[in-house]
Amino acid sequence: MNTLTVRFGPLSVRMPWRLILTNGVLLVLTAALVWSGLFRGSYPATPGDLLSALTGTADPVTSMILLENRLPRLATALGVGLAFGLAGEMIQTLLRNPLASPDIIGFSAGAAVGAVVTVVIVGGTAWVVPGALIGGFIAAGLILSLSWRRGVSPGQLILIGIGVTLTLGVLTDLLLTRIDTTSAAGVMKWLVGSLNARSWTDAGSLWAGLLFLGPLALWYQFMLGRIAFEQDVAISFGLRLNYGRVLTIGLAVALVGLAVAASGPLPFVAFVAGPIAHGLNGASRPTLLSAALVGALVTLSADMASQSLPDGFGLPAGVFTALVGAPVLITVLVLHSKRQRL
Amino acid sequence: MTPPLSCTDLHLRFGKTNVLNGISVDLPKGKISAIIGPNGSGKTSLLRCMGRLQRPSSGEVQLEGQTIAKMNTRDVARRVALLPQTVTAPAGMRVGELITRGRTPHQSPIRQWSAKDEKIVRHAMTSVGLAERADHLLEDLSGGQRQRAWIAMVLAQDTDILLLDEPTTYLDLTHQRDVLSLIQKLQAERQLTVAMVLHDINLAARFSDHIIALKDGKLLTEGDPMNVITQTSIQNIYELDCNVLTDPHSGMPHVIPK
Amino acid sequence: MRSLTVRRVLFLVFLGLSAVFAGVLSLCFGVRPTQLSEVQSAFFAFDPGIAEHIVVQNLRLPRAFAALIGGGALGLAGALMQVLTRNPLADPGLLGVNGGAAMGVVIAIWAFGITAQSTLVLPALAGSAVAAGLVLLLGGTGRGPDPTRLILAGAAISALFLAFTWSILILSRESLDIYRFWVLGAFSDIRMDSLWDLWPAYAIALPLAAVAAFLLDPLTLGEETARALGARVGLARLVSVLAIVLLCGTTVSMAGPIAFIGLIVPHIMRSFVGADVRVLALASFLAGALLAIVADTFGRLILPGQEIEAGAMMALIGGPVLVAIVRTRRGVVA
Repeated sequence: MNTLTVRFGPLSVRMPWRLILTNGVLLVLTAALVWSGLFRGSYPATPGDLLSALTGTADPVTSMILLENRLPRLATALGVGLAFGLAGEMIQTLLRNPLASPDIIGFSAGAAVGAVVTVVIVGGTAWVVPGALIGGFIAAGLILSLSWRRGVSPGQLILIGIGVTLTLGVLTDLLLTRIDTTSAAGVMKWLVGSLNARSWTDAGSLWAGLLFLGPLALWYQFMLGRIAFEQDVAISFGLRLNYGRVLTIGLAVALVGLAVAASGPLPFVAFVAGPIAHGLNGASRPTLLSAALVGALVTLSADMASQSLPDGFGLPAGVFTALVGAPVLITVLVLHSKRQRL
Repeated sequence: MTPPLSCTDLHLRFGKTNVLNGISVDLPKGKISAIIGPNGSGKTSLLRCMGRLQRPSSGEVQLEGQTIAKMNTRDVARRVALLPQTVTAPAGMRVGELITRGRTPHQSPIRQWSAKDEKIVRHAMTSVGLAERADHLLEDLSGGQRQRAWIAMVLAQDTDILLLDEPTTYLDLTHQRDVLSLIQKLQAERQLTVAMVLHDINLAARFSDHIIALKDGKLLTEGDPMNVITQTSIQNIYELDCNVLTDPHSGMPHVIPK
Repeated sequence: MRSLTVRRVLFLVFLGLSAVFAGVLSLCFGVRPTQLSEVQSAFFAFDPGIAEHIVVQNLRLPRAFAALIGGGALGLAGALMQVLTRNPLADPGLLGVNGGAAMGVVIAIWAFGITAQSTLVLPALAGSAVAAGLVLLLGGTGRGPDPTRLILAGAAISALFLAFTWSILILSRESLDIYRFWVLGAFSDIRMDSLWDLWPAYAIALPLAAVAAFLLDPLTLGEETARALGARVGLARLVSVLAIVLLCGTTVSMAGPIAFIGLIVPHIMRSFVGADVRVLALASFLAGALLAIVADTFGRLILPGQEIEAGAMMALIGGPVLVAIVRTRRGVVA
């Protein structure tokens, strides 16, 4: 068989070889990116430097660059990518729609409005993050409760999601024209998403949440693929559809919330991770781990690209997530459909 | 003795249309029941209520004396399997994968693929004759093979009760017979209680032990095929003039419309 | 046509008449309210000395034309797009035209120092043409465009163009300052000469869309059935995609990206006129025109002394309306 099965007493786990291979390759790539982000760049360092920085014997400059600058930034980028990748794949699987992304449950749109509203009220960009989180959760809650009718139906959720996110999006644009240019530029930068100057506080709270939610999502993956089966079949399998749908959406919202708090919306990561992961695995089943790793890869490489620009071009990572992700998606698309035609 | 599955005074309304009008019926244990009736008589709705896919407006369905609506849906899934009429699998799914999905109610994230799962799935695959095609794409199969794959999926669910909605749709004569004999054979092997919706009254007569005839959402008559399928009752059910002969091969009644 | 019942014909006529009526009324409203008789004399007894006459002829008339044709084009394109992709999330702008137009606009401001809204039409048109061309190239297969591929390719290209746009916006304050108004979508800055530039595009796009609607109709029954009925699936898709790109590209160049009409008007119309693509396309055209002109007019009236852009107006009203419709009518959920 082309599947690996591991059994231990009453426990058993099963995974196709191809998935294992894909995940292995993605993992190696991610590690390589983290490695090069840590030790290369404008101030080259060695693993030895890191070790001595950790034990407190390195010179202060090296120690600051590695421990206070690079490590937290990389940890944030990695965590944000994983979170967006997971959330994107969960929502796309649940709604069975390649155009869906966590955007459809309104978090990003709500976050944007929240961010701009704080600027309108306070006059500066100091309160953007809390405003965004509040806006995001309100919008997601609104969409979920509006589409509730003795349960969540994916069709209703999509349409209500369009209605609400579109209105919120325009509200953001409208508010952006009612504030001064400097504030608008500040909000704009935040809306694009950035990984500049992340501290251990950013990385710490992100990872604390991720270490809790990530395993939960992976645990639930097994049922997620079956929930997305045709409704009648899923019910007759004894799956609790509403429970599963609400759990999936709730997890995705929480993951997006974590990521948005750490980096801003970083458009496209959540959208692109799933299709790329599917293309690599050549499968219809949900592949949460692959999608999470793809998300991490896209985010890490976008961040590296944004750092590699000459000074004066202070472009945030969010600009590059699309620049990195889109060509990959297109390549996968072309390769994938060629294989299907054969 | 409590029947494996019984319905009491089922009513079902969609808006202003009454689909089921107070049906009370028991499935006889270890037998094949065929639900027959004209289009729109509520056959599929009755089956869906039995499989708790549809919640009746009033009345209840009991699984060996327990109200199905109050049971844990996973426990129900380990005892009742249902194959809907038209089902499409997600694109790119393979035969083996589909049949494996039937094990869902017995699985969990840490019990993904036990030795028992493997045995049952392999058995289900062999009994429908698809063992060599486990790695084929579902969309590459013929209609008959695909239907057999779906049947294997519900078999893999390993339940005592099997509900099938039109298992012979899209099949040619040979495959109709093959699929129904397969169900008959499996039923005899495992003492399953089977209920299936069938359009073809002659197939129902030949392959079932018990007939449940519906009309306008009401139970018209039920019983042994020999007693139910008569000229007068067919006229009642379908408003069709016909002769009822005896099938020389099986000895069962055979309806020939005039 | 069997799907043209009396009720539906009446509904279409009602939509059309309302749009025309709203168009005429819109000539009377603005910072300077004008009597209908004055509007009449602005046309039939034009006097360049009267300010109202100038306003009506040079500002409000092109604006009303633009709203009617632009709104209609977006509604029509949306109907075709949703039938083509069978995806309720598919906005016609997703085929790359919105992203392309935005990039064209931003480059024009940043690199060539163009600042007047009305001169942004040509760069927008160029940008959307480039983007749509790329999407078609990627989304096409030997047998005509494949809907899912088209959507994903559109999303990818849009994101790519948007990323470039953002880069420029972050680097250049002047671009952001103009872009943030352009992106709302408005008919207020349209003059007769831009309409003159654009009408040939509409003159090609509208008949093409009509042909597309007829070709697409059998496809609502599914690809296989459509082929069995003798429909030319590849041709139908190609014509529709061209029509959509042309309609949306022209409109976004004229008025900026207005997301709302193309996405939602077809949904709402489907619940009124049913699934026949030909009727649906016509109804979406008329309803889009009506919605645009009403939104444009209301945007002028709602805040005294200020104007809310038509694109924003539409989303602010239409979003809640869509939610209400989805919640009350089950049939809309296609």
